[in-house]
Amino acid sequence: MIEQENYMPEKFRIGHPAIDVQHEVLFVFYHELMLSLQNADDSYHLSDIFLGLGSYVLNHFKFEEDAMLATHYEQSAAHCEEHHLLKEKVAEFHNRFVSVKNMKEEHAIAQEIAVFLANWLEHHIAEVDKQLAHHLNQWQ
Amino acid sequence: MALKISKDGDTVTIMFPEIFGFSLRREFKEATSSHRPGIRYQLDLRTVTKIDSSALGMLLLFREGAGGESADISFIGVRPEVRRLLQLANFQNLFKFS
Ligand SMILES: [Fe+2]
Repeated sequence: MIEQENYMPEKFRIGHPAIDVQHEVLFVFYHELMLSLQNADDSYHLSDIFLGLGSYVLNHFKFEEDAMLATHYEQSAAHCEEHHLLKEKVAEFHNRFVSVKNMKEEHAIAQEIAVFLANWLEHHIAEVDKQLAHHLNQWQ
Repeated sequence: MALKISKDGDTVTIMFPEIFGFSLRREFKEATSSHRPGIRYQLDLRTVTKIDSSALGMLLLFREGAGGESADISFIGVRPEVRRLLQLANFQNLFKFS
């Protein structure tokens, strides 16, 4: 169904339809963040990108955590701990983001978020979520 | 213009074309950039048969610009195949479906 514009490299597809779509959306946010950092003339406000990303990350984590709970996933504690660490990081970025004093500072934080997000997606999807998808697909 | 926008009191209705993807990004962004508090949005998807993840991102960015948690946005006329994608993306917690 997702056959048009897709910013998620294929190697991140883990074979669970809902989780894959949700990850694709996270990559769209990453793309928007990059457009904004490049000062593309039609880019969204950094604050909308950042807040939208934060709330969607929470929505996505809840989905995965509910699925883990419903299927008695053994690796649940370790997986949720990774989510917890990212939530803390999002909160930290948020606090810094709302107290920026100028565009330059805002830009610097956005740059940091982009790097952090890229690294996090690379590790978390490729390793942690892949195991979860495997478990969920076996459960069905 | 691919989007058809109509206004009735505090309700803004946006009608989408058959394909809702990245090509609508600029137009959709412009159409929704001047948000005023108290506006209700109805996103009419009855014609939409194809939707992609960049559209999902646009919807979330729109929601944020329209007040985030307090935004009042509902989808109307959603076809089953489009509804399936919106549900896979777990949008039922973020938007209203009617
Ligand atoms: Fe996860």
